Amino acid sequence: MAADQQARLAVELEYYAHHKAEWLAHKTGLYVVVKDSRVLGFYPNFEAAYRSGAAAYGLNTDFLVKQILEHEPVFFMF
Amino acid sequence: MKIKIGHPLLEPRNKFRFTTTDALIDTGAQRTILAPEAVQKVGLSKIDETTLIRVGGEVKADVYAASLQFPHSGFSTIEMIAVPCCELVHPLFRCLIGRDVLSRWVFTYDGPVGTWQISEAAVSSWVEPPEGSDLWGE
Repeated sequence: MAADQQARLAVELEYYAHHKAEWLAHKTGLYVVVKDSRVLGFYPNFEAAYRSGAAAYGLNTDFLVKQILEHEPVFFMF
Repeated sequence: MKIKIGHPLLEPRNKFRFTTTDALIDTGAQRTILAPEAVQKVGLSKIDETTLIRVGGEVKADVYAASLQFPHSGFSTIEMIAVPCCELVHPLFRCLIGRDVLSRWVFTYDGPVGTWQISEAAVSSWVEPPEGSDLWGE
């Protein structure tokens, strides 16, 4: 991952990491939308979360859409 | 197969850029993957980061929100999907179609004949000629 790409969503990912343990207690499995250091909301699926984010911030900007899970998923490519 | 990549399709229909490229069906890939060139061409928005495990080890990957269309196939458009991005080794392909997309279809591979077929409910089957014949012109 290039350094400039890594900087994108850095604030949001740090905010997520800071609040993850707290959210795991009651919101496991939900999708959270975060922009800067502000939570837009929690949603039952990716589509609902992304639609809310796009409606609030537009399609042309980065915002975090992340499922709240204890273990971060890894994906196999072979 | 050809694939058209763009921003998620929301109402009212957004007027954003699209790019059409060749995609490789990869039954070993859990997720559909885009190459950085495809992401940059469309200007997709980043929504997350994830970890991919590929031959050679683990890589961190950005995740983007996208829509996927399949020109001339008749298959349904995927209006919104989260797609990781990483370098793809083969220069001819800017997209790997993984099992997150394949799970929407019935994919049949006939090994002895060397053909594959995709079908989707209410859409007629699309049959690919024997392996290599379209790619290498043999």
